[in-house]
Amino acid sequence: MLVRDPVKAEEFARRGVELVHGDMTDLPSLIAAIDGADSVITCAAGYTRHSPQDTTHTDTIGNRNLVDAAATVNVRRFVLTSILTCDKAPQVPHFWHKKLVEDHLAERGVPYVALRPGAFIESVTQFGGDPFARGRLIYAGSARVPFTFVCSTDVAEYLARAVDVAGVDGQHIDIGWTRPVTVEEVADIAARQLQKNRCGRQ
Amino acid sequence: MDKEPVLMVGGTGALGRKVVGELLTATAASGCWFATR
Repeated sequence: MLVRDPVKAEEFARRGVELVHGDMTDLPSLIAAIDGADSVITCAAGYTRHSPQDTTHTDTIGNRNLVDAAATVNVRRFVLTSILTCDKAPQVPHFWHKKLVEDHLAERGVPYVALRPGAFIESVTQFGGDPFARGRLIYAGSARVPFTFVCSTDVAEYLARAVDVAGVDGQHIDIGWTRPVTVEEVADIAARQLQKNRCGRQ
Repeated sequence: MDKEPVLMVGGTGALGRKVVGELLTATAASGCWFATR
């Protein structure tokens, strides 16, 4: 696992994961880290700003470096966490940055597969805790706008499996539920499953 | 163990942690790094 600060990943080291030091904005460190790897999975994202070191440089310079490093050492497969409809949204920077990474992978001839998940249901519905355990779904936005949702646990499984699955090189694979749903519909479905009456405030 | 190591980038984030968990589960189940090889 590539880490900037090994202290933050000690729990993984205890579970048998080898930690390699590197920084996505430092190409030589990436080449050293990736050398000997069969394949790469990346979920890195700077736009989420989970730590003070996270910037959009991770999404632009960092991902470009990572692709260049993968090309340098000839990895067998590069698995990219992309975003649904990223190629149709040049006005949304973090979407478009994913599209540019996909393009760079193709340009460099790196064998890759890009998974393009929709909106993580957990991210948009879990303000204030687990809505299903609490019986209260809090959502900041219009509850009547449909989204293509996906569960992040499912995406994680697909990313891991994408390392080895045959016949997907160069593909951009959309991941989402069978149809877009609104948060109102999510509340209706949850109420039915939990056998509760739904009451809503907007 | 027949290691074919995968380099995980972004593994300490919310999604990345789940991916690492999947890889470790596959490794434990198969005795090598990936379940399908």
